[in-house]
Amino acid sequence: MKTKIIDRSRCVGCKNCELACIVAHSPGGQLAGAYAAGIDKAVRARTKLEVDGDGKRFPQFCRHCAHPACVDACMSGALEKRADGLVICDPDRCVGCYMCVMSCPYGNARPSMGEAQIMIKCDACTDRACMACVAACPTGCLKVGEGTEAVVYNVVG
Amino acid sequence: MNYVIIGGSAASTAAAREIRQRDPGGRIRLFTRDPAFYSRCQLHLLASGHRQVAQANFLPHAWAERFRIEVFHDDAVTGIDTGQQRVRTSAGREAAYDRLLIATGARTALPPVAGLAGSRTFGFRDLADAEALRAALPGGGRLVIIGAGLVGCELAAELARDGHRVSLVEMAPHPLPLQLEAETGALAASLLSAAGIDLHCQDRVARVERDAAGLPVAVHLASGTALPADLMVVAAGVKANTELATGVGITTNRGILIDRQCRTNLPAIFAAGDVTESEDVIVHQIMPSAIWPAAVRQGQVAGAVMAGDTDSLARNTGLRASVSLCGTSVVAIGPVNQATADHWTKRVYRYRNSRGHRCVKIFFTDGCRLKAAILWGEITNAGVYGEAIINGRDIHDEQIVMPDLDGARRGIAELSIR
Repeated sequence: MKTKIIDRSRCVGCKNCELACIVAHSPGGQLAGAYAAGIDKAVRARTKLEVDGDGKRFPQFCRHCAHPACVDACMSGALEKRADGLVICDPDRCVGCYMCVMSCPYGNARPSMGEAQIMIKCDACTDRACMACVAACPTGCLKVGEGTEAVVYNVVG
Repeated sequence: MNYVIIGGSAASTAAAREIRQRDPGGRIRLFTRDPAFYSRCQLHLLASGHRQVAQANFLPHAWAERFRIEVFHDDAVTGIDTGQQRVRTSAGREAAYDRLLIATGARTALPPVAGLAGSRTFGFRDLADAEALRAALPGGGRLVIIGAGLVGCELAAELARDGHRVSLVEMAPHPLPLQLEAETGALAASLLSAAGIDLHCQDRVARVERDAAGLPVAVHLASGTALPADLMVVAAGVKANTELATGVGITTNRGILIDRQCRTNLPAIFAAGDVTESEDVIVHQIMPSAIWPAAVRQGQVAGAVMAGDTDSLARNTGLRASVSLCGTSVVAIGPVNQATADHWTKRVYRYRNSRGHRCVKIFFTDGCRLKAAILWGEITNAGVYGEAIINGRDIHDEQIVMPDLDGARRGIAELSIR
């Protein structure tokens, strides 16, 4: 199975992945769509650049954990660990209780802050040809591969 | 192997799934008094009618078929024969077990208040409670909710949003007394009041006045205030459904006492969820853990151990809550209500986030350790703080004290990854 592979050493903190994630999840697939509902309800990125204790930037993405705390915390059944290994949220079932946000030890389950009160997380761009963050990464930090190199986010957690 | 599971909510279904994953050939029977699977955390949405019961089903499509669980709805277990290892049910069934799980949950505890028990007084734990309340709401009139904990606040906010006239009574000085301290408690009180809820804190219900027909007229508070009342909902305290257990000599306190493997004192009998008391990892006390994720975790451990595997509640806690108050998200982790009486340091950060929302973050620290946290308005990364609290991680003081919140979070985020 193809998974996202992250080579943390290559991250320069350009935030192209965050921007691409916002664009991919905005109405019309356009950046302008991110602000269609007003700036206080703007579309959020589902990925995040973090800075470690030494000031080095690194991408902090959903790991699609083997034992996902967000799924265990989900009282609506919206979050599911699928047979293909991905942890996916069904927005129609989510009621925005945010116990997933309370439970994800990596901070990768987030409130949408948009029009609907639901959680958002990395959906692995399942309805797109390629993961938007991977396609936008200019340094080779983010790649798609089969596996065992660097961090394979499907088997962590 | 024959497995019998009593209960139809978070703990029981999690256990059934874990058993099936380890024992493909075992027979798993699940008996529940509930008519369907539904999320008890969504009762306020069912009472208001914003969700239907089918939408509140928290299980994946065709769950019982997929995991080959024999499910008996509307069928409560009425007795356990520990000698014969059999249960009897209200529908007249009998089922033999090699391993038994009691996950019977808890029910509303009616406080001993004169006139409270009677018509148009509702508990709020079960689908029947929510449906009864929903049926009574169109009559209009005044609704008095007793108890401003998670259930009371969510219900009050939900019904006030629909234009119902709601009063909310709480004995503590502020709403959500187990989750919030004074400052955030005052913010919660303002939010609820601004939403049109008639909030009465630091007060309690002294008696309920009823007319000759037995219908409620007013709720009289200890302060002397009289609240006109047509409907009352009790959301102040619950009682674990331990009757089945106590009848056969299972040790109980406020709930069934379980060890880290979810075993009771009787062999072959396990318990999980709101019916139990177990050790909380954060405060190291034996206590109930009345939150969904804790019940799921207990069910997982019980199921694994029942099927002969090993697992442990070592890192389980019920001292976590996430609540949305009139659109404002709040997460509390750890014993925030005990914190001020201790020697912990309390740090308060007040700010407006990039979207202009008022936010407060409160950290309780013991030296280098984060012990408890309240996140008001902005809850992203709540789980990162939770992870640090649950695992007792050392946080460098300069990282937590830094007024730059990203800096504080960064220190913890890094720790969680190592």
